[in-house]
Amino acid sequence: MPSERELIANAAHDPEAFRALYRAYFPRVYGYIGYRVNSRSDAEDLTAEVFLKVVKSIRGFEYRGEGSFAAWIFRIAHNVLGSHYRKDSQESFSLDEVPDMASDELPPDQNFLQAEQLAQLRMHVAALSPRRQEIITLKFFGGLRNTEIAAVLGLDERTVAAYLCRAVQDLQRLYIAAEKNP
Amino acid sequence: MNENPEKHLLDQIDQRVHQGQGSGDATIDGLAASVPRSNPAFQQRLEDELMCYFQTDGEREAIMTTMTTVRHAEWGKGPVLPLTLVAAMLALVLVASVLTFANRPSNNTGIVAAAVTQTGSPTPQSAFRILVAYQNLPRGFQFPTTVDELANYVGYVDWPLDMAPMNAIIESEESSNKLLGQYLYADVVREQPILTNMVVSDLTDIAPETTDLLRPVVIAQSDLAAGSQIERPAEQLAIVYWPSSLIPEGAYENPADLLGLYVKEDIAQWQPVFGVNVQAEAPVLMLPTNKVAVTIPVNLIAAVPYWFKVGDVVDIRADIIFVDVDPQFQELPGATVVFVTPNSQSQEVIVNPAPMGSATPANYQHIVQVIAREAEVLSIQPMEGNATVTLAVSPQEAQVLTWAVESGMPLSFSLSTDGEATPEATTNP
Repeated sequence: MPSERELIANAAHDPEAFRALYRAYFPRVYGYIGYRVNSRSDAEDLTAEVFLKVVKSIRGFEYRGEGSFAAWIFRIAHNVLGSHYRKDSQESFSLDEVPDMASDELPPDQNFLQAEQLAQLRMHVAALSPRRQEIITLKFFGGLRNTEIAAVLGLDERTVAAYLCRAVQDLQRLYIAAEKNP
Repeated sequence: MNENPEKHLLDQIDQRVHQGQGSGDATIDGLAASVPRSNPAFQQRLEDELMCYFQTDGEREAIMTTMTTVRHAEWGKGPVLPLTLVAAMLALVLVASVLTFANRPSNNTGIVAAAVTQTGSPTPQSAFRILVAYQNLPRGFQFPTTVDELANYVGYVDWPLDMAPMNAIIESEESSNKLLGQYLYADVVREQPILTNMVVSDLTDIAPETTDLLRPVVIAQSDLAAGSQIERPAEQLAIVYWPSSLIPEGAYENPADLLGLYVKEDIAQWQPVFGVNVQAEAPVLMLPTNKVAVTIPVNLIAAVPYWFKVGDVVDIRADIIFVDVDPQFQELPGATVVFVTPNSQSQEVIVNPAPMGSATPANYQHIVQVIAREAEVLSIQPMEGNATVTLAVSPQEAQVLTWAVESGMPLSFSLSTDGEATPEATTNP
């Protein structure tokens, strides 16, 4: 099994190398984007836009160590989302249209309850400041390490860690409060 | 337990996100479990479309059809300005092409290209390479009759698939030797793609002299944020061709000329890059929109600059002594001001800006007032035990801050809540 570095080196010319990278990163990019937009169609359009940019410009990508490729892809996704937000700055949030979430880890009789809890959690996340939303989604749905998030957002790693902690602590408080007062 | 609680929290997050293990925390596990999932059919369809980029030249037509469909969907979601710009650019190129080639004969069937590779090495099957001029060539120029000589004038270069002009000459086995001895229908500039309908077999078919020359214009391939550096021109920039008479002054022709320059102001995707948009020096301060920069002195010992740094977002509080007097018959020398904050309605108050600890009248109120909220720290300059801190604040907050500093009002900083909560703006113990 080739390493990610080898796949990246070959991806510009080798379709199978690119396919392997695509399959590894698609769920993460879609998860990151899907959590930040209000509809499945937007999530699909933006994800497609990200990978089109990736395939078009991967030839110019310079490997700069572990995590640099993830940071590069998510930097593209971050920019695509930014353009989307600028276009749809008046967009409202609708729970009915959000992309499906991974809730099949629980027995079916708990699915409904969990779906409600997850939707509520999503609303809590949406109430965070844009920067904290960004860091939460890059971390939990993009699966990025703090150094990679720092590279994507142009921040210091310690700043990312601080924002991440505060965001999760705020969510913990909101989550607990919601459980006590459903 | 001496463990730093924040480190413990970060460890819990990493355990869940990167190791896939339960963290024992409902919020963390709930977040990790709520990752949006895509429709598998969509994932497969996108994969198929992306694989089109790796097809051989012979399948290019099908690829272009597919990708054009995708790209239209992509552009349909794009910002209004870039989309308009793209439409204008395409229209300009189309008009120029029509003007250029309106009178030329349609007997070019079979004129494809000579297979003159830039390096002489075999062309990778996955590469998309088109024929460009290696130097400026005038209309009426006759290409050499041998492949070796032809290589001095034209060659194949890698080209972004979706940026390829219509009728571009694609590198392939069948394109060999077809350019030899032919004439150029119009002027061509260095690195400009040579199109199939730019080449004629008869000198009498060349274009009128009034043909408007197409010249390269460097555009942004993706949004370029103010303050960012152009480190990878091939990835960040692209070339399109405009009629020379319509190219604005200051536009760049060669992406390589922009290597290492810094973006002075946001450049939208597909927007041409002009000299006024970039600079050689790294910008010292990047101001957010609708903000102004204000510099205030800070005591390094008493205040917090020891632990906040450039890029942090802070709230600034002022300690204020308010003294209730009746202006009809009481006076407090040198203390009448109008105090307006962005977070409260205008209120005329009498203020004694005496430092804390000095003698104050009996009927005073000690107020701690947030006078600037979510100010981004732009720079910190230490100065012999003190420091000056430059902050990005609203124009109103800048006035209040300036007044507060000039009044000798004690200021304190706190790391901002970044807009999530609405803390009390004023405390009156």
